[in-house]
Amino acid sequence: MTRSAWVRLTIVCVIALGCGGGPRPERQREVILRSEDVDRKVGEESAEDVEGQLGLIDDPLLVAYVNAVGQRLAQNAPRRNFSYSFQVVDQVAPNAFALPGGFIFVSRGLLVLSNSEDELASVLGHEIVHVAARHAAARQELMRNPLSFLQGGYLAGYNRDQEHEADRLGQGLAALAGYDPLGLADFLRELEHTERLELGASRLPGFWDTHPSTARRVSEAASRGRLVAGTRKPPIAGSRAEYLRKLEGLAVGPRASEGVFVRDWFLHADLDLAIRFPAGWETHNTHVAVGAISPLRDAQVFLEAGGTGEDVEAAASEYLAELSDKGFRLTDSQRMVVGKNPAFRVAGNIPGAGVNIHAVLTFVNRGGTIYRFTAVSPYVTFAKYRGAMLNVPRSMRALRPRERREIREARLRIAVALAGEGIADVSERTRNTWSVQTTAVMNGIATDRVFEAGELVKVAVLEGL
Amino acid sequence: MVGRIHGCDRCTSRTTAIALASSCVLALAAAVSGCAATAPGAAIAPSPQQSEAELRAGFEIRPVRSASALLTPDQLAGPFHRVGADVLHDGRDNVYSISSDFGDFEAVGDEQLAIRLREIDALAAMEATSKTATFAAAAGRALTSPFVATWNLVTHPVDSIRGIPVGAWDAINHAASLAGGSRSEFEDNALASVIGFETRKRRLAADLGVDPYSSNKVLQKQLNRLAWAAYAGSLPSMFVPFVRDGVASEPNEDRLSAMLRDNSPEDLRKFNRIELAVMGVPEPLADQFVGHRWYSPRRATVLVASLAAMDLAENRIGFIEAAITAESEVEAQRFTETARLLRAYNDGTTGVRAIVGVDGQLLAYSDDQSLVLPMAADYAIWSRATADAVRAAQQPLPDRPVTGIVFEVAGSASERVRSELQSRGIALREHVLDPLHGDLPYTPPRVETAAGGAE
Repeated sequence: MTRSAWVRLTIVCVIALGCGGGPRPERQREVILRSEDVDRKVGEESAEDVEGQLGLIDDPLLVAYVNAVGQRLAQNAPRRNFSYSFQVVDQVAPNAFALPGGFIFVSRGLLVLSNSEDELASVLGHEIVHVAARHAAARQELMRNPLSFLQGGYLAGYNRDQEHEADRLGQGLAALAGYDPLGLADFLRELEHTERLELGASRLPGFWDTHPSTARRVSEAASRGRLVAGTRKPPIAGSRAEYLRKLEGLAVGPRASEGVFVRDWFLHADLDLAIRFPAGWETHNTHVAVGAISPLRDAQVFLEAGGTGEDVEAAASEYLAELSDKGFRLTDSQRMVVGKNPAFRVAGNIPGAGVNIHAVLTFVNRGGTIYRFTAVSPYVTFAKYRGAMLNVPRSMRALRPRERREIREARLRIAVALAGEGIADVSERTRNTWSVQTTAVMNGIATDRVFEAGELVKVAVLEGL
Repeated sequence: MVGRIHGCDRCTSRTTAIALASSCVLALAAAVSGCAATAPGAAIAPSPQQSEAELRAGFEIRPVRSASALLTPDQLAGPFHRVGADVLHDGRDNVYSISSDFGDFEAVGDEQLAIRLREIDALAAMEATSKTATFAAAAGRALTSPFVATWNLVTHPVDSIRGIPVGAWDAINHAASLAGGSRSEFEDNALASVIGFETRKRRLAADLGVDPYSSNKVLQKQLNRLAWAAYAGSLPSMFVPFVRDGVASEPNEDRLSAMLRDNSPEDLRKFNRIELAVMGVPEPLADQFVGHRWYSPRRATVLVASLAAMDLAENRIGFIEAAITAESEVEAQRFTETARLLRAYNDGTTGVRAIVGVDGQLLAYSDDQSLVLPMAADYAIWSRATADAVRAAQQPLPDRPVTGIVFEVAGSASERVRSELQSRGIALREHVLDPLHGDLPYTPPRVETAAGGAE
């Protein structure tokens, strides 16, 4: 498996929150890589990819705090031949994952969802167990096995036994570090409620699901947490209030600094860029591309950074050389102007399994930066979308003042409730953008909660850059 | 070699049920009796350690049986060993004498016999290796390696402590801080663990199919020698990895073997401490157990894993409280075997709901309301200890209705035991562990030739 593939796998297969499912017809036997040096090497390389693809939160105080909690747990963890490190990735979804060699990541979405240091510790403990027990190494080795039916597309996450072990021992690890082992149950409950909010139901285990259902994990973690032995110690943060203060200001949802969608327009303040995508298409904004998918999911148009330079034709030639290795066959090319910017457009086909893909790539030089637009669809449907897709590069222009003001992002703020207020009251007073249900889930409380004076409530407030 | 089990007169002085559980396990191991029932395997005379008083009390004679009736021809004699014709009985287990090219051994119990036979083959393989030119070259390199000052620490941890360089002291102190407590009788010194020698040794042991924490001093000496040559002299791996179930142990081997091979003793301790915390075992008690001198990292891990597998069982703390009373390797082995017996019932029959102590006897109460009496014995005879254990199992349990009692023995039971159990309506399960008659094929260690094949 290539390093990038490994990272993609790892990112998809998150711990607590929706670890990917793959076929698992029967109990898999454990396979353990012999060398921890290999773990470390793979982990180091993959950690770089994680940083590149997801980005890390640049908040030294917050990262130091998360790392301190992790190190407190790691004191009781099997050391192997590596040291543990903890980072916060810039990811919206509540997520945590571990790479071989002791590299552990939690997402800002997870921090936003958590409500106490005990919960954070339980998640980190879970991940430490995955690393210490070398679950990832076993998974990796299984994938290398030429007899594995999991090769290729069906990339399983940790298997059910591994998740169960990570939950169980993670609670033990948390308890040994002085945390409440019930923190895992609390966090998983919030996670389950999030799933219910987003999916309408908690995930249920099935034949294709290697991950135990969250509801069941909540139940098991709660039962087990009451039995686990340990001596409580003061949290590093000191109190729940201090914990929440550490999280205050975290972005909730997509980051405005990476561009936002306002209706069909993608607006990027730093790049002074506005681009319109086809109306009604599903939009996506990732670290590597921003784009849209047609409602029938048979066409995509997306924008990527194409490097710096003035010569769009040279940029196109360089990229085409890469594409030709993947079977791309050029059918047309032309110089053009998009807005006032020099551009170069190429078209071609990529033979696929039973269907040929047609693609049109437009390279635009805007102030010395090359922007690469790709419009792609099966050959037989391309004509249907051609106009809509090729209008995307044509729409590129500078931001207008009104648009710049519209670029805002939701940030986590900690509100202080007044006596007798409900969630709706607090939301109205603080301009909370979360619904009552979401606010309840994020705070681990019931929707009809009546607050006492001074209670802290997590809310999401839209703020300009 | 292990020490012999001794009788225990302390049982009746114990005050708590759990504490009694342990001491009576010892008592079971030591008890003797004097019934003249004839067991399969031809009892020709009582084992010499049995007392007249026990014989007069109407219990069974500890049999002396013929090795040829108990063992396969391969087990009885091999190219490097021969098992003595008479097999004694210590009240629970068979006691074998083994003569070999590498010295004479006594094995208490079938499991230890199986271990010793494999160790003898491993010794032979290591001896063959040590005669090769490859080994000689590696040994030469080891002599001039920067680590040579630590070799004495590896082989003579006490004698060589004085007069070593200050840097080595620092390393020892560092290792001690990693250890965070006491170490069992069977581990290497802390420095060796730090410098990576211990890792090589674990992997070498895994290739040979032996326990790196074995109490066999002869084996330890040879393992150390080869592991040192591998570590300090870059001796390449010369053994075809141990084969289990006809499949190379790498990459398909069971989780426990992988844990033992891949984790240092300190990491195993940490895993065990975490597992014990999950069971609700208080930290001071957990520390006592993981630092117990008679529980090698392997044995402790097996015991803890067995208890952890019974994840719904109440009072696993009680088991650990009993286990820490072990005062010898054999006693620790029997507690470990008892945990394995309970796990076997939990995994194979019905879930264990609780571990209970009655009159000093460890019992398990199952989901189907059966009471399981685990008997860590190769050959259970009707001794005073067996009778006491059965009597304890027959006592009513408060708030726990019992629909039946199961006497679960690691090996087999005598005719007298069968008869006594039958008369009391107690079910008997035999051969639950049975290490000499399991499904593991006998595969002597093989040495790879220079060409990469096996000889």
